[in-house]
Amino acid sequence: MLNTGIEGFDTVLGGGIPTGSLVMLIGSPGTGKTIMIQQLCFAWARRQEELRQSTVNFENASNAASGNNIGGPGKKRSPKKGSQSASSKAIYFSTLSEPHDKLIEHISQLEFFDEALFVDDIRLLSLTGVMDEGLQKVGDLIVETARHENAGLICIDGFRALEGLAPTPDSIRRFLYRLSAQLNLLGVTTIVALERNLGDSPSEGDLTIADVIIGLYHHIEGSRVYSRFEVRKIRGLKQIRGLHSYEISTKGWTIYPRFEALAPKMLEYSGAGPEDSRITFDLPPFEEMLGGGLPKGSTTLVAGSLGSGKTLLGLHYLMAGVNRGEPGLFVGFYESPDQLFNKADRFGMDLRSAVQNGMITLLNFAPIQLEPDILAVRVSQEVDKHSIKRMVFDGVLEIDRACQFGDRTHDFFAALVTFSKVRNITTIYNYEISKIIGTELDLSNTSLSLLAENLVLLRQQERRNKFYRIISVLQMRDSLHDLSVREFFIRNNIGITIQGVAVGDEDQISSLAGNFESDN
Amino acid sequence: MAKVLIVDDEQSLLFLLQQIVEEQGHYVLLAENGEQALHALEKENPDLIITDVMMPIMDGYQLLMEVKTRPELCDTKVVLISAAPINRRFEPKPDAYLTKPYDLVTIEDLLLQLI
Repeated sequence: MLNTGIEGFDTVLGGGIPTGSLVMLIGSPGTGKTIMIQQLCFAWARRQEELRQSTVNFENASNAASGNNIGGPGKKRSPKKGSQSASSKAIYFSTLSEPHDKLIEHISQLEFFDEALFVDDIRLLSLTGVMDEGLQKVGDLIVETARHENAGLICIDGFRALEGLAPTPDSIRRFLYRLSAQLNLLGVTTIVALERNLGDSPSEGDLTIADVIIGLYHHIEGSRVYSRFEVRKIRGLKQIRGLHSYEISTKGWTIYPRFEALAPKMLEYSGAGPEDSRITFDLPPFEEMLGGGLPKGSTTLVAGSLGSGKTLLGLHYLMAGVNRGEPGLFVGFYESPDQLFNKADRFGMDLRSAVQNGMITLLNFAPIQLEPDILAVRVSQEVDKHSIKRMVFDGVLEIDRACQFGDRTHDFFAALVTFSKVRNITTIYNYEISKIIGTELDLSNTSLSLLAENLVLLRQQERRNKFYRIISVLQMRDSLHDLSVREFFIRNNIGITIQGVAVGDEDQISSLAGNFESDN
Repeated sequence: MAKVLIVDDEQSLLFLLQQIVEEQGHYVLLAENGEQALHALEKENPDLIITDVMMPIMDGYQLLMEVKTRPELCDTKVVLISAAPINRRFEPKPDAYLTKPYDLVTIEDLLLQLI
């Protein structure tokens, strides 16, 4: 199996590229085929270097163990290329796509580039010299080079130019068949980059020969381009079907497997047991309202208008986790870490220290062209790195918007909920509602209902020329809770304080509630 | 220089192996199945037969049986090649087994040993 060395690629492939396969990489110009091929070549070359190193180490160890008795009896074993235990080259063949000096100039700016790997481990060769002599000559040159250079990986970039040499569609199929059979026999993995949109061609007959078919797509919506990647076919392995996001940076390719395709089955989660402890905020009146706290592993939607205290409540929640040794993750879209530190300072929370000592992790995403799978990968990495127990997503509408391309909101939220549940992470999603003063909150028939096992509403009410903040728990799944509406305050150096039930008089509370229950 | 008969129903693989063996300085005969190979054996007397196992009309095991049980041919060395697992309990036994994909160094070693 050839491990691609590209983050996320092997996951989508179902393990890697089977050795000796013919891989067709199909995408329109600009989708990143050449960079992917080059990255695969360098990953191959680095592996050969490691193999050589490990062989040297092994031989040194063997010599030491045998008292440097070199040349003793015993048959010399031939190195096996098929098992990748011997050093073999990656050979890149270009056609009429890009001259080599231009290519090197481009890829030398990428982090995976290493000039030292050229010649010994990577060869750049051109097929243009034999293209005039027809496909047969091209095939012969490739196979001959593979044999004489001891190739393990052959890449052919710009296959469209070779298609142009074929007098009939059948002859290109025969060419690919012969090439694939011969290179497979030599244990060589072959990658062919074809400039075409997978699915655009009226006939995909030549693709039936491929062992692996990869499609690269650029979808344009408005002024934005969505880059998507697909493993359409792979023989012998079970790929993750469907489209996945990818990005090309100075690191080269990164593939983000579609998050919902990775999520384990939601119904496998047995739910929080009665013996599970409740997760608290260090706000006793609020815990009283929640029936003791949030059930461990549950998801809570905290809805409130702008400035109602959602972010602050989230910070209370994470800081309470710090006091109990439960690491927390804050996923934000609107405030930078410095803004959050300043806010926390203002309310007497030492967020900075909690972040410095690793108890709280801040993950900030600009709410511009957000890719949900990139968010999911980063969250997943932080969760695993810090053994996160508490999470706050401060702005669920940003995720909702990011998921609208491809109509993924429902599945993505379901995957997010599953992800947190199987890890027993208790999660809060802050949801900004549009009205500063209002009583309507209807989540039915929306994907947000997936996140609202527990539902907390923060509102501001005007009474006698003054705004009052009120908090209510509208729903707790599988748990009793307090139905009362309580006033709360946000004070410098203290943060949130929540009144007991008997704040003011009952008339006032009823008035503050704004007849919410009758509206729902 | 030795005379080598290569038998494979897959033409592209036949020609590839032909090139490899010829580059070692040997004379190569080609056949696409066991039956064609037997016809060739009636006219030529190769030193070595390299034959695929799975072929139409007459497969590699049958060819091996024919070669090793005929007194006039039984000294001819036979190498069985296959991508699928080879039945190593099959009698008579070949002189060597070779699995696909080929390791060129192994093929070169084999030719040196058997010829």
